[in-house]
Amino acid sequence: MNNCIYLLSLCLLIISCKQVDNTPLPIIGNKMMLDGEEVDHYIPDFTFTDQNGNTITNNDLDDYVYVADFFYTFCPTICPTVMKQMLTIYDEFESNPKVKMVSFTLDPKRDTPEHLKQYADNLGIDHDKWLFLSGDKDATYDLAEKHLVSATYDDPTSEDGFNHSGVILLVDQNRHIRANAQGTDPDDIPDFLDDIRKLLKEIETKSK
Amino acid sequence: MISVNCSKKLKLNLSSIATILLLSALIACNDHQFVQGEALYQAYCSSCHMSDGTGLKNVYPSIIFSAELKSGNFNLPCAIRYGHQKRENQIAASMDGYPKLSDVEISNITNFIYHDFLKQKPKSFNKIRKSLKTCAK
Repeated sequence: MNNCIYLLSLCLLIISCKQVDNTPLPIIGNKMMLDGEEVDHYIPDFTFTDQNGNTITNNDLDDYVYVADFFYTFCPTICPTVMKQMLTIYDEFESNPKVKMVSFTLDPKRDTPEHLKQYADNLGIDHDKWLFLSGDKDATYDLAEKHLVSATYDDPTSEDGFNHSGVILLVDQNRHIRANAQGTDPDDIPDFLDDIRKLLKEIETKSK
Repeated sequence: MISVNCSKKLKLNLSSIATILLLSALIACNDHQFVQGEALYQAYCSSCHMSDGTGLKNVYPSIIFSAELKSGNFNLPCAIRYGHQKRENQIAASMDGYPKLSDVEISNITNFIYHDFLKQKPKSFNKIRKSLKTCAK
């Protein structure tokens, strides 16, 4: 009996000793050149239109951390699953004013702002919190690449020509990518939620 | 006398244990009776309706919460074979249907949905075939 209690307390001790990981989130992506100097990877300037018809540039996102994905509404394959994970993330941080959600469409021809507004309405989300952005097609694919998302159109192997990966990204207020998750895998999301919390804590500590 | 009693008791216990085991095995097996239906559902339906049938809000309808399906007034086999027209305000991809699936395959998907998602009794193959005849092209 005594042995059993010892064993139980040992187990409890091991569980409680599980170390809290205090290392900051990494900056993801290869170094870039800016004015002849090597700098950390960052998201370059962009200008898009949101579902309300407003022009959105990255300056509008400067004060926020944002969760981004690339999708299109007619996507019959991985997008609905990725969007479901985006909804889980949205639900988790809905009341946190520091977090925004940004979905870029890879199919701006069909996904007009009006179309995206209806889609967002069908998702039942807050239009200021979650932006659905459309813009120039080439600029979108270029930006996807800058977000380290592989995306191509006119792909002969895909049913409707589009091909892209279902990555969800976390971008900080300095335009650095700090974490990512496979949007097609719900098991990837709990860790990603932890990463967002960690980044928010980091910002909170720095601003003190 | 006592020893006979004991062995009787033991026999009774053994047989009741065997019955319980058999029953639980039956229940367990029963839970996974539409293995092909589940595999086909995951291959053809889950990307929009999600692997647990919850759908995506008003973008892609949920199966498990569908009043239309629960009421039995919805011809599910026909929807799987020939698709379903867009609902009001539905703007994402429409459900096109899978005409290449056989009657047996559609029957298995239908029964996986009725059994696992809607917690209803499976439908007989003949009944599903009759439903399919109403939309035969």
